[in-house]
Amino acid sequence: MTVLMIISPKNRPVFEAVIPANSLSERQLILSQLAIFAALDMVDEAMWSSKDLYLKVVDRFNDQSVSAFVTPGNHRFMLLHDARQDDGLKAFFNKLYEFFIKIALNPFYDDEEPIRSKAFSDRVRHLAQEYL
Amino acid sequence: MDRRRKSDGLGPKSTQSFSVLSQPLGNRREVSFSAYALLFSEIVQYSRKRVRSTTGLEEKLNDIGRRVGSRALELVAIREKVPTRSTKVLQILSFVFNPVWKFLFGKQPENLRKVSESESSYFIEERDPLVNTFVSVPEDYGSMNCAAFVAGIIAGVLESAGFPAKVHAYNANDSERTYPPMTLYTIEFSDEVMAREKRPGKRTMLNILFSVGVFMGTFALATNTDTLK
Repeated sequence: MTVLMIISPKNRPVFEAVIPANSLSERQLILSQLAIFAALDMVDEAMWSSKDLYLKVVDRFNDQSVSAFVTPGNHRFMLLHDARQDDGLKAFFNKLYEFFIKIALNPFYDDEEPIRSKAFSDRVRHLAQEYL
Repeated sequence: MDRRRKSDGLGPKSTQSFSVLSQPLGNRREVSFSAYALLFSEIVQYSRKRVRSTTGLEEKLNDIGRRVGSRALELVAIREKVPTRSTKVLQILSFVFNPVWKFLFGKQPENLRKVSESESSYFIEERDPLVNTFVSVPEDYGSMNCAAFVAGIIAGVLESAGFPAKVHAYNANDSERTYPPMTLYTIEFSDEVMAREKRPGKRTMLNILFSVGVFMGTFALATNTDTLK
């Protein structure tokens, strides 16, 4: 079970995906959202002391870890995942970053706006199958 | 289910659904300069009809530039060999000065300097900005400079990288009438950026803690030996 969230520079969640889809009850979903939001503080601290985009595991929540990736424009990709898996994470984030830029370059997409593109979420799920 | 999804053409070689997501990001095509100049002149004319003063016009161009800047940041960053984030003022300034400028205008500006009287201000000098090639500002517009658009781009890049700043474009050496004219972009970072800049990094903090610890230790040792005597 994995939860991905993209948080805008102004701390607004613009995208959320539960992988595989519908695998969480509402209560579990709220709990994992809480875990991700709590990890944001750690990211804010870590992101100014490292030049890397991929910040690795920033926080732990029970037996799960939160990994983060920060784009140069300060969009934060947060991934709540099982503690053991970390091989494909970097590759996953890099691919996701490419897709995200393609969405952000669209003149019809405004900053801070939720990403509603069906193609985007399909591709994210596809990526997750491939790398996670 | 999975197989069907794959053959649905969600992979990169999809032919079924056209989407921006299947376009490659890496290849870089040059844009015709005439097209660029035409587009810019349209932007200026469009903005001119919607404002009442030259400062208003500059602000309008600035706003349009901001939208370009925030997008240019991400795109230029991913086209670098190793994408990195900038965490210091000088890093982001050299990122703007070099890769961003090359990507947008195919050249580099003349100078990047620090304003000596102020901690938080820098300026970039550029001879004959690309956007001004076919622009001649009427006399009654005073010292207005259409490079306000470029200033907006710089501000957009800086702001979305987490370094909010005020950026203005000026005509330099107005009295001397040199040709081609020099344009000055002044960049003034906001206070929060300078505060973050001064904050010691993780390593220096550890060093300080360590030396304080050593000092306390020796002090305790010294007082202990004193009492033993």
